[in-house]
Amino acid sequence: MKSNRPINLPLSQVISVNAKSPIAIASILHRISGIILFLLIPVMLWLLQTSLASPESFATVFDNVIVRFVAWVFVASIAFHFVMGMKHLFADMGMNEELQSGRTAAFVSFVIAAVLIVASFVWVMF
Amino acid sequence: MIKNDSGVKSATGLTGSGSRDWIVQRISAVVLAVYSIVLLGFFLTHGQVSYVEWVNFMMSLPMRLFSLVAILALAGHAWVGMWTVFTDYITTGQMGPSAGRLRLILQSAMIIAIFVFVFWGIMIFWGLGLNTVVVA
Repeated sequence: MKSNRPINLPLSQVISVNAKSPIAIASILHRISGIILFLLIPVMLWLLQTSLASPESFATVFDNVIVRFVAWVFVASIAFHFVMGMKHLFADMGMNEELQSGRTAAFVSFVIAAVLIVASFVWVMF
Repeated sequence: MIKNDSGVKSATGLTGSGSRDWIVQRISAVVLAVYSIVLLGFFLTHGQVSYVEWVNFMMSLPMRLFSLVAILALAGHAWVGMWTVFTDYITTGQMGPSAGRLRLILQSAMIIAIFVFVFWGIMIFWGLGLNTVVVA
């Protein structure tokens, strides 16, 4: 199929077009949260290993505020990736694929994810 | 339909089949979602978790088995997901003729990292010698 759609648009134009769509924002943030999760896998494996290694290391590993913050970034990324992933699985089943329902689904997902991210901040950091 | 410049199928995807990669992505997503909910449920029902509670839970046989499944699911999920990201953004259209080489390097690093994570994760739950103590 020969398509005349423009390719290789400048990044600024790609962003300005997509920033208007909550569906597009949900999609790119889903990817970014996935990349963050991938990069943090070694940190979380280390944290898991340290927390299981001994009562002393279990007690002290979360004393470090930076460790708690990174753990929160991981938990927040999981929360976001989870919610957008559920939206994706529903879309796979044919739900919320129209423009308006897709926008609504993206908006509802943002609200749920925001609540989880804020709650996890309070939970992990304090 | 032209798949890529060479006409050769991608060798760096997980299964060599787009539909199979797709289904791996979905099944592993569900496994990881359930695993996340189980861990969240543990924390929500235990308040201030003690070390003994934590170790007894994570090192119980069901959780060691579920963790093994989750580690393998994570490996498949991350592989397909990162492959998608690399093939979408590290392209000759975006960054010129050197993109192919850079993409191969990044994907190789990603695959090696996943092998290391899988081995490391299995050692935490099933290995001896990484200072993991099972409290009876």
